[in-house]
Amino acid sequence: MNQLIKEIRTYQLAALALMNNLPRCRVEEVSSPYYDFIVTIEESSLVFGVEVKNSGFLHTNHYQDYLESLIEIDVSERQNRIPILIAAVNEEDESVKIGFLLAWQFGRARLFKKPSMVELNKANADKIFDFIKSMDETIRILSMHGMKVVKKIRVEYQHNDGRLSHGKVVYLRDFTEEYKMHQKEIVDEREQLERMIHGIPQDEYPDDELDGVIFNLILERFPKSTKISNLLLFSTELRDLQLLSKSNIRRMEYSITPDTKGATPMVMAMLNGVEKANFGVDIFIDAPWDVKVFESQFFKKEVAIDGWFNTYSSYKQMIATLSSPKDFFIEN
Amino acid sequence: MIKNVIGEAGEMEVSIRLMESGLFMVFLLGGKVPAFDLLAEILPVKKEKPHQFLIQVKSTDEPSPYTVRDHRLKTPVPKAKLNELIDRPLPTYVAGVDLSTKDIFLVPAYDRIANYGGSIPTTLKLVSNNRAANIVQLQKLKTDVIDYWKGLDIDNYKPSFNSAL
Repeated sequence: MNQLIKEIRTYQLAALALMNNLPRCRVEEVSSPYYDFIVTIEESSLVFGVEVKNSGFLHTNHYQDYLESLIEIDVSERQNRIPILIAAVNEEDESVKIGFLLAWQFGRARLFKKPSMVELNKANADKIFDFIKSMDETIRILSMHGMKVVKKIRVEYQHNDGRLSHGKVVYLRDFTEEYKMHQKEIVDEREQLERMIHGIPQDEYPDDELDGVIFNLILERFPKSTKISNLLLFSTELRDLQLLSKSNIRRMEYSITPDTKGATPMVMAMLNGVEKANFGVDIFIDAPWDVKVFESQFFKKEVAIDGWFNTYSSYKQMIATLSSPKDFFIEN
Repeated sequence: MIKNVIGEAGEMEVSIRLMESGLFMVFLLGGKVPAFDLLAEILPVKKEKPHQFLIQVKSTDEPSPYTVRDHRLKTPVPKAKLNELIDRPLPTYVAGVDLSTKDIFLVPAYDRIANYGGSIPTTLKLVSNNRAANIVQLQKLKTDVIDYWKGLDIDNYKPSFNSAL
């Protein structure tokens, strides 16, 4: 096919994907060495640039040249101080992926050389919005899908020589009808002031059986561990989670199984092939020499065999609301 | 970058679909001419000429965009606007776009008898992600445009035209 036609289709597919999937957005062509489109989200005044390329571009030398040009971006120009994304268009199957290239964090430009690419579709629209908000200097409230409870477990291990190793288990939970804040009625001004200074009391955050299993099994093995809960509401908090990408990351595996001790052969036969509730959480370790302490951790929780099918289904529902900060990293 | 390739959603849907097999080049006019939205031309193969044609695009994002009785797309073209399109001496077409499915329907607009005041027929259909089916329809369109220009004998008329300039 004519190269010019391919290029025009590439731009049009990218523009359409943005217009169709990001509600109330305006896409304009611009003459800039850094991006092809300026996209404005009308209701939030969020503005970002989009560079449009074909899907193979990220693996070419031209991409390296383009990154070099971004490093030299003129930050004194106000129109350059916006997040920049790359739209990688597959002209054959007409799919468009979005990657996050340049963010403005703490007043400085931050370049993501290996951007993680997300399919630009309606299902991912909120996630993409929240990513972009975290790349912008303005503190913005996240979309409903972006709001979550953040659980942080500080894990400590004391070696025989007294030396301490630290890791941080961080995971997120979605709000549901059952998993919600238990806000008390604020009765006096003193309590109001306390909240302003210290934030929401820990006992008002939701904490269900799944949170209990995750924390208690860690606590059994690492008795000095502590847990706190926070809310993920604003773009700055998402940015804080993204900073975890600099850590060493290991997966801790969990398995919730029926306790088969004392079960009759008939029950055992019935349970043969029954699924266990398996899941994992990530531990973030700053010091490379502490990685060995926390890697290959496997935790098993046995629960009463009576009513296993209900227990299993209840845990599966809870696990479905569990996510990792890794889902919010904007670089591979 | 290439400039002036971004337009309204419906116009870009039609442009993307017409260009998908490399038979046509499409230019978006961005509302510069009220009578039509796209100027398209055949990408010549061998001795073919880049014959041009015009398209007026009408889009709908209605949840039920088809008439019940004869399954026509409810993208009405006002009579005055249709006549303005028909008055152009090039081959002229109306494209109806169902934005929810991205289905596109092309109808000729040659004769002032044509009436698309309420809806347009859905005979010639272009769909997303089915190049094999679309190319058959696009070839029909190409043949239509070539036949029109051949009928005018433009290849002989133009070189023999006695310009007074």
